[in-house]
Amino acid sequence: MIPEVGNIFLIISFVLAVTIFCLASYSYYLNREILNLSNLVYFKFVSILMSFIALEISFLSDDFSVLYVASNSNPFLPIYYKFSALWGGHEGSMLLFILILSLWIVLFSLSTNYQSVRDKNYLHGFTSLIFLSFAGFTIFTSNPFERLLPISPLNGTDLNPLLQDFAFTIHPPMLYLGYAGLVIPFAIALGRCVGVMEAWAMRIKKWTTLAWSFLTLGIALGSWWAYYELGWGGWWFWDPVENSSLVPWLIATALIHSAIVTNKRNIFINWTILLSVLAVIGSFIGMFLVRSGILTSVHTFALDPERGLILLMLTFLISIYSFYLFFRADIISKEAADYSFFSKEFFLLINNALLLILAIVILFGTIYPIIYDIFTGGKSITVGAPYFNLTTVPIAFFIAFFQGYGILTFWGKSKKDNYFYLTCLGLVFILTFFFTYTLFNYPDIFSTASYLMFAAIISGLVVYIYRNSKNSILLFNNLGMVTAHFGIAVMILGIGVVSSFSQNKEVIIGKGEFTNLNNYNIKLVDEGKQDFSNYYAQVVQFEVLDNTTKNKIDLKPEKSFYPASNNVMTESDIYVSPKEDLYISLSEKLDSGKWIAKIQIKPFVRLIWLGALIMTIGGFLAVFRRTKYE
Amino acid sequence: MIKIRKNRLYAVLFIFGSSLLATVLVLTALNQNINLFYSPSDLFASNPSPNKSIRVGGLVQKGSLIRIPDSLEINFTITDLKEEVTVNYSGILPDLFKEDAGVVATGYYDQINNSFQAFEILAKHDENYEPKEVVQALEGK
Repeated sequence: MIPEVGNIFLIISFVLAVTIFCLASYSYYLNREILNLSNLVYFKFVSILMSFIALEISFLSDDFSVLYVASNSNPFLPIYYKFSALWGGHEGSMLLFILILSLWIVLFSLSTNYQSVRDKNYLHGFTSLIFLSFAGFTIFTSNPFERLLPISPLNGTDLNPLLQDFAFTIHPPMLYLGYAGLVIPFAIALGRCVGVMEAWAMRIKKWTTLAWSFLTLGIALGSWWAYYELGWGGWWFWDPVENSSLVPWLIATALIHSAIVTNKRNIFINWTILLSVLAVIGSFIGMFLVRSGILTSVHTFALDPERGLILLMLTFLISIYSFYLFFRADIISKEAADYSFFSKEFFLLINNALLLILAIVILFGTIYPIIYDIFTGGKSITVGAPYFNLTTVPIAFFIAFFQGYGILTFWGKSKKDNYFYLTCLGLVFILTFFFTYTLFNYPDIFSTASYLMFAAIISGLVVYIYRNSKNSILLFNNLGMVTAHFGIAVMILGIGVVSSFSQNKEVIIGKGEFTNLNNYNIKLVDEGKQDFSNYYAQVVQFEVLDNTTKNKIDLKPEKSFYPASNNVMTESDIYVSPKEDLYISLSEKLDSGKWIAKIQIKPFVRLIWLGALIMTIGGFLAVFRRTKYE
Repeated sequence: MIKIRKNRLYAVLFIFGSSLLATVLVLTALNQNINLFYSPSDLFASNPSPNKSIRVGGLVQKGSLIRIPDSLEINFTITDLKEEVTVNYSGILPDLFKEDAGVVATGYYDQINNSFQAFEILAKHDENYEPKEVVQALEGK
């Protein structure tokens, strides 16, 4: 009964979205207000929420007559994983996504006032277009309420063990909060194309920043999850799924900066609109790549080429619709406005272009296997991480350079100071370069690049704060920006240090034996078996002596076996000290009774996620700081 | 077309064009970072260069897995049920690597000894998932 109710609510929300879109379009056609659509938007949210609750109830009550529950849950799963198992597969995560999308639309509607009801209705029309696409896609191709009747299994096949994890319970919701949030600036931008002028650039900036903050946090959580849960200590794999979250992130980053210029100077109007549209299309393409199974990835969803085709068609239709509105809009542009070479506008323009090119380079590397397949008649290739490192690092280097310098420039015109700062930055670069080469004695070009990037951003920030130290209001207003920029610098430093100073060792070690890595003495003291509610594990106990602090720590990596799904998992164990992580994971037990283990030292790896966290905080500060004045 | 729209179109075309050009150039330069996939039969048919890293996939032949005692060195045979190739590998194996299951190895092919020196081994990601290429190799594609 309950699944049917959920299904009906899902269909109601779809019908409501279609109605809102049609009414908004009709109102545009008549060129007058017909009725206030906000209430329908709230009904739509309530309806999709009920649908979500219905599916949660099915999960929590182990209703295995529902196909989706049967394939993603198990009676022995701890209760909190039963809850989060809802977004462990394709169908449920689509439902979560449209719930979150609807939540954004409601929040936007509640918190943003438009003088004209008609204007607001237009925006409801645009958000509903996206909602109805996804809701329709869910209902017709991936309905989570499908039943296994009359014969339903007594037992579920279990949630993928990789996903039975805390970070996983919050990673998808955060990521979806980011993706779905980008729909708001998309709607505002299309609204601008049909003549909704009210504070549009300011609102795009604000809502993009909010969505961007969640997206940053979501991506960082995913990276953290991969680091300790995939078991082998990497924090970024250039996997298609990771790339397809990075592309919208880069576009959103460009959009925030472009919207700042549009809001302040009323230029780059077309550029801001274009980026708003591209951010959403980028997320669509990402979703297509992830869900169609066209690319081999470590994140596997139930793969279905037909779904992929439909997503591709949706992407295509929404692109055509948006670009049609974009091209027919008569936006008087004064792009040839009077800004000079050393102005803030110019630097923001360069960085915007670079961010977009970076996004395209990553997207291209990600889909290149598909293109290759088509043009060579079925030959299969993979594009390795070296491609991404070699192409992204140089572009990122220029972005960081212009970022560090750009915040010291002024709106509109160049000042004499500009040349002075440029000289200073050059000097900082040369000093950092010699410093890294003499102190670290490490001629790795990638990590050197990251130290230079760190130096560029930090020196820019330091001069900026010093220069404005008497103007506390200005500094306070830009606190979010300063924090976010500091965050990216911290992250870049972390990336540089990890890639140049990581150490690892693969060892064969038996009970009572020792091994050394750097400052650590590692001894295998004991091993045993442990039973848990839904899996059992072989646990090996290592005693680690940290020779610098004389601390003794026990690390217990596991090899776990999940009978319900017949899966094996590597559970690493990590000793976290302020300066580095000591990371031990088990490979396999040999016939002689000895273990193969991988021991790694990851210095300052936590700076990567700390940086992302600081960026997120910066984003939130920027949103909530500004709203007070505007 | 109104001039503004024309400009807008040029701007869009310029951005896509220049970035696409940039990527094509980059990809040409990075040719060595693209790993082509071969089934054991393809290896015989096309003899890839021994200096270029490639991927080979198929099933791990039953009874072929040999480990040099107490070391990370292993040998096994990949088969597509028509041809086979011996793989040498030193290092950690993925969790779901086992005999009679799908595998994709990345490394260098030595035609004279019909052996493959792998530096990376990928197996199934979970019980329900088989690498796409392995399925195709076994179907004799």
